[in-house]
Order: sequence, then structure tokens, then C-alpha cells
Amino acid sequence: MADAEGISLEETNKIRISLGLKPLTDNKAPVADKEKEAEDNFANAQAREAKARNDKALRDKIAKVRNRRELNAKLTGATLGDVGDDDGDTLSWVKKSKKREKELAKKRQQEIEEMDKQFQQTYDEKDLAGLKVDHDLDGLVEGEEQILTLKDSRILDNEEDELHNVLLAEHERTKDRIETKLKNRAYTGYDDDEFQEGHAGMRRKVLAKYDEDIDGPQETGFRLGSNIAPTNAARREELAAPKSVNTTLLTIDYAKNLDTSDYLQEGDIGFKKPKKKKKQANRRVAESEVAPESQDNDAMQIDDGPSVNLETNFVDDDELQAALARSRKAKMKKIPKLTPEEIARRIAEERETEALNAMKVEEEVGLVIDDTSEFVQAVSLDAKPERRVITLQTVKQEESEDEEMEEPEDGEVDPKMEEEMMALKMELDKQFGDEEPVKREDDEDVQVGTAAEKTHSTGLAGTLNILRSQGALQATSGDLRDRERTQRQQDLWLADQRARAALRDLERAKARGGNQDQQQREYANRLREQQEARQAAKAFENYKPDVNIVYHDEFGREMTPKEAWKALSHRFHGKGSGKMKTEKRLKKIAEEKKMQAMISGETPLGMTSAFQARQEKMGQAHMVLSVGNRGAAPQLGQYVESPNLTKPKAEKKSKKTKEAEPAPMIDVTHFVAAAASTLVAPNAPASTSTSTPTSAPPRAKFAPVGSFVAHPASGESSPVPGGSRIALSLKRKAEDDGTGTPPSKRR
Amino acid sequence: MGLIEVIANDRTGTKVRVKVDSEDTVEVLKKMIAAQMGTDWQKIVLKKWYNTYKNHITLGDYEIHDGMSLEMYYN
Repeated sequence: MADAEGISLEETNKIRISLGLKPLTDNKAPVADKEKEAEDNFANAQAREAKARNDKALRDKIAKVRNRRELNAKLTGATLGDVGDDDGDTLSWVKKSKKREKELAKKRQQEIEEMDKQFQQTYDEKDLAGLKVDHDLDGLVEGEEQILTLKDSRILDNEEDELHNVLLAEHERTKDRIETKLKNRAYTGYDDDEFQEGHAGMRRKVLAKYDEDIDGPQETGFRLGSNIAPTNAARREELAAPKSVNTTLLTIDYAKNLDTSDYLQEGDIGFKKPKKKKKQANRRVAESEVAPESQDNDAMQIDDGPSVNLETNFVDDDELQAALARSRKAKMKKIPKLTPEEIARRIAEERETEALNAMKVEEEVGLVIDDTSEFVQAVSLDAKPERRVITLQTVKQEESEDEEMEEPEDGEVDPKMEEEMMALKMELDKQFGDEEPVKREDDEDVQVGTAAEKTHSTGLAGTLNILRSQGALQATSGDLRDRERTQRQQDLWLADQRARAALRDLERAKARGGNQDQQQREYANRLREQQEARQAAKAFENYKPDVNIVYHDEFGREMTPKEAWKALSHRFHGKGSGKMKTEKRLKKIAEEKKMQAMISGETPLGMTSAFQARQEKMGQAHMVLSVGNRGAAPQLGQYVESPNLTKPKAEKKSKKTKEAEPAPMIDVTHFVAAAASTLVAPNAPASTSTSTPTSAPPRAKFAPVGSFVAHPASGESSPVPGGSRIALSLKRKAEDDGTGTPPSKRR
Repeated sequence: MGLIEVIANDRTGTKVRVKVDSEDTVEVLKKMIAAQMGTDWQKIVLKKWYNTYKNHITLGDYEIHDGMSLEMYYN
């Protein structure tokens, strides 16, 4: 490793000063200082730690010593092992023990005295006050002596002292046992308990056996010196008391004929009367309409009495009564009893009314004269001549048709026809007076010359005819006509259907007005339904709707069935065609659009305009598209045209190169020969002498061509493959033009 | 405070020995190196293994002693 380049201290200091730092000094002491300091620090710290350790050890030692001393302090005095004051001799020990004995006796005496003192205190009623006795008071009969002892109790439960008599306690226990046995008996349903002694009126509770568990044992007993608690018997009496009060309620005696009534008594709380609702007006009207009729017609008159009477008599719910009356009335109305006499009478009445009406009408017509009637009369008077005119015109129409048939030699009028016409005219004149001639003349005018042409004045059909004859309107095709026919049929059918529906409605409306009973109406309905079904079947016999379903795509184009199917399928499956297919389709649509946008007769490549341009240039109306089995012919344009004509370039090029030398000589009219010469000249100069005579007019037909072809083919290879082709096509040209063309100019 | 000599070595042919104070910051060291090499001090990165020395910390704190060599990189 190469030595690192370093600079001297002075230079370093210069740089440092230039950087704004204080210069370095060469002493390394401070570093040592620092190390020493650190060492010192370390030493100090160690010393401190050592000192602390020592201190702690010392303190512990001191504490230990002190503790021991305290312990020793407790152990002062003579021990068993120690030899006491008495130096072990028996005498002194005896003395000592005697002394001790005395002291002990004294102490005991004192204690006994104290106890005596305590016992000597009188134990009387006061001391017993507040002590609890475990028995009920009724168990302790007055005057009898009872010995009460302290009851056994647990010390730990800290129970109170209780007094009890052993015999009594036994007695009570047996009683309790019996009671629990009674209680524990399951429920029988007889409920005899309340009739047992001491339990009168006390109904046994359903789950009495658990009473103690739930409520806890019943507290008995009393405290000495306190107020006397009520005895159990007293409590029982208390309970029984209300029962005795209730006995009167349990009597079965009752007042046999209690005053009950259905009607509201004074002071009774009654039901609130609901407000009478106003009946709907239309229903009431209907009733009023129907009611009198039925009453008139019915032989059995039924008065509306009941409802009225009800109201006066025993009305407790007049709403209900009203409803009942209504229903009764309705029932009455529903079945009008039609006797034969009844029907006959009705018919007679109807007839009478009809006759009356007719008479009335006649009378009115006879009486009234107003301007309307006058006008009507005038119209009716004029009616006859009108009819005559019409007939005449129809006749004339026929005539004119005849004339048209014979028109072809137009302008000339048949003399025979003329005569006939005149005769007819005379006859007509006789018939209708002299208003006709003028019209007749008019008609004649119409038929003459160019006027024979139909005019548009004859109406829409005439116009259509004219248009058809002119070719402006295409005659309808068979298919279209068929469709039209079906359409017309469909329209007819629809109209029929509508008429039928209207008729049915009318009938129904009529039927509704009639007064029929339910049965009749139902029968009529059934009949009508059957009829309708039959009619419908008939009507739909020739039901041929013209259906033409057309689908349009998102651009509004009409879709072909295939496309439509595809579109539907895509919609159904919820996925369209892929990117490529979509693009293809869009392209196709765009092309179609372009096609439509183009001028009619034009191709996308602009062929028509190109042809027109060519025609202008050539001055020719025609154009040869292709000749020969190779489909290529030399065209005039190739020699004249600028390079923008659409022809294979290779040919053109070859042509031009060959034309280079003979170009000035070429006469457009003789281009065939010229071309031939150009072909031949460079190839076979030897044959020129032979070919010159061949170019004479008579041989121009086709002989020379064969020689032209033969030369390059048999001799050297032709310069350009195109050349031979041209030679072939030249043959035809020569055939066409040869006769008319003079011999080519040769050099 | 004490004069120390530090060697900075980028291992591409530049090795510089610089005299600095142990209480100088790394920035000063870089400036000194830059002055000797003739470059911009901010281009210098000093490293020891994967520790890049930061500019504001003194050489003493980094425990750079006399004669230690540091790796020098440029950024």
C-alpha cells in the first residue's frame, strides 16, 4: 500500500485558518490528561464502592451484636443449671418450699372468698327479667307449678338463653309432628280441612307443606317481664272472626222473582245509542224508483207496517230492526209473482202506450211548420232531377269509354259514330229537356285531340293511373299485391271486430236496463257467452295478421335474419363478439355507408369519373375493356395517354422504349402498322425487304401479322415478353382496322 | 483536544493523510480531506464498514483515533 500523501502541520493550520478553525498544536498531552482523568475517576469510584461495602459490613456487625445483647438480657436470672443462692442443701430448699406453700394457700383463700361473695348475692325475679320462655302462654296453666330449665343451645351460634319445660316441649313437639304430617299430605281436592275442628273456614293452602320452609318457623314463646304476647288460641280466634261475619253471604236463599226487565230502568247505566248514519243517496233513489212499480204490479200488497210497529212496540235496537226490515223488503221485491193475467195486462199496456206515442208524433208533424221542414221539403222536391243527371252521366261515361277504345286514329271521328251519338243525344234531349246539350258539348270537347289525355282532375285514382302509364310509378309486384290484400283483409277484420264489440256493448247496456230476476239474467248471460264464443271462433277463422318483424341495429340499419339472431343471442348471453369481429363488422358498416353516400353508378375506386376523363381525352364514346384470351389489348390510350391511366406499367414502359426511335413517324390513325414495324425493325433487319411488300393494302388483313409473330418467335428471343403479347393482340386490331387503313409509311 | 492523523482511502488510488483535532467534527475532517484532494467536501462520504459518519458528530465521539483509516466514497 502506497504511503498516503500527507501535508505538514503548518499547511494544515493554514487550511484550518482559511476554514475559520483554530490552528492545531503539536502537543498530545491533553489526550493523556484525559486518560488519566478517566483512570482517576475509575479509581475514585472503586474506592467509594469499597468504602460503602466496608461501612455496610460494619453496620451489620454492630446490629448483630446489639441483637445478641438484647437476647441475653432476657435470659437473666438463675437457670436450672445455675446454682442459686441456696447452695443446694436440702434444708434450705425445704424451708423455701414451705414458704411458697403458704403463699399459695393464701392466694387460694382469697379467690374462694371472692367467689363466695359472688354467690351470696340474691337471685330473684329481677335477674330473670328479659329471659325468654319457649312455650306459649296457653300451655302454662295458671296456678300450676312448672319447672323451667335452660334449654340446650349451641355455644358457637351464640344463641340466647331460653327457658323451657321438658314435658311441655315434648308435648309441643308431638303436636308439631302431627301437624306437619297433615300438611305433608298431598292435595286431594276434598278440601275437608276447613271443616276440621280448629280449622273452620281456614282453607288449606295448595302447597302448605312448604310454608315453613319459605316463611321460617313460627315464633312462639314470650319474654319474662314483658307485655304478654297474644296466645295462639287468641290468634286463631282473630282469624276465625271475619269468617263468621261472612256466613250470611254463604246462604243459598235468594229472592226467587227478582224484578228484572229488558228495558233500561231509571238510574241504570245504558248503552250509548249510535248515531244514525245517513244512507247513501243513490241507494235510496234506486229503492224509490223500484218500490212503486213493485207495489203497483203486486196483487199482494204488503204494507211496511212491521217496521213501524216495531218501533212503537219493543224497540231495543232500532238499527237492527231497520236492517231486518230492509232485508225483508228486498226479499219481497226480488220475487215478483207473475201470473199469466199479469203478463197479458202488461203487454196490453205497452201496446197502448206505443199507439199513443205514435199518434202524438203524427199530430205534432201535422201541426208544426217551420223553416227546417220547409227546407227538407224543398230538398226532397229537387231530388228527382238530381237522380236523372246521375244516370245520364253514367251513360255518358260508358260512351266515352267506347270512344277511347276506338281513339287510336285520333283526331278523325267516325261518321257512323257521329250518327249514333246524335241519335242518342236526341233521345236524351227528349227525356230530360234542354239543359243537357251544353253538357254534351263539353264532353265532346274533352275527347278531341291532345285533350284526350287524362288529367289529374279525375282524382287520386286517375292520377295514379297517369303516373303508372308514364312509368313514374312502378306497377306493384305480385308479392307486394299479396301483402296488400292480406293487409286489407286484416283491416276489414279489425273493423268487423270493432263493430261486433260495439254491438255487444249496446246489447249489454240494453240488458242492464231491463227488469229481470237473477235466474233470467244468468240464463241470458250463459246464452250470450256461448254465442260470443261461437262468434269469436268464426271471427278468427280468417284472422291473418300481416306480420313483418324487422330488427334494427344500434346504427339504425335493418338487420338480416342472421344478424338479428346473432344480436339477440348476444343480448341473451350477455356478451358480444370479440374485438376482431366487432372491428370487422364496423368496417363493413362503414363501407356500406360510404357506398350509400357515393353517387349512384360510381364505384369506390372512382371508375366512372376515370372513364369520363378518358373519354374526354380520347374523343371516343367507347372503350375496349379486354380482348383475346389473355384479356389484354393495346388501347389507343396507351399511345396517347399520360401515365395516369390505369394500365400495367411494364407494358407501357416497354412501349415507350420501343417508340423512342420511330416516335415522330407514328400516325395515330395507323398506329397498328407503326407498332408492328417498330417491333419488327430492330429484330429482323433482314426480313424488312420481304415485309415491305406485305404491308400492301390487300394483305393487311392478317397475313402480315402472322409473319410478324413468326419472326420474333422463331428468330432471336423477343426483347420483352410483353412484346409478344402485344403482337398477338395486334392481330385482332389488324382485322378490324386493316380494311380502312392505308398502308403504313415505312422508312 | 489533541492532534491526530487520519487516513482516508477510497480504494481507487486516492489516499489522503489528514491532521485534525480529535474534537473536530466529521465535517471539518471532510473539509480538510477536500482541501487536500481538491474536491467538494459535500461529495465525500466517510464510512467504516457499514457505518456512515455523520457530519455533526466529533471524531472523538466516533472514537476515531490517531492513525486510523477510513473508507472514502463519493456521492
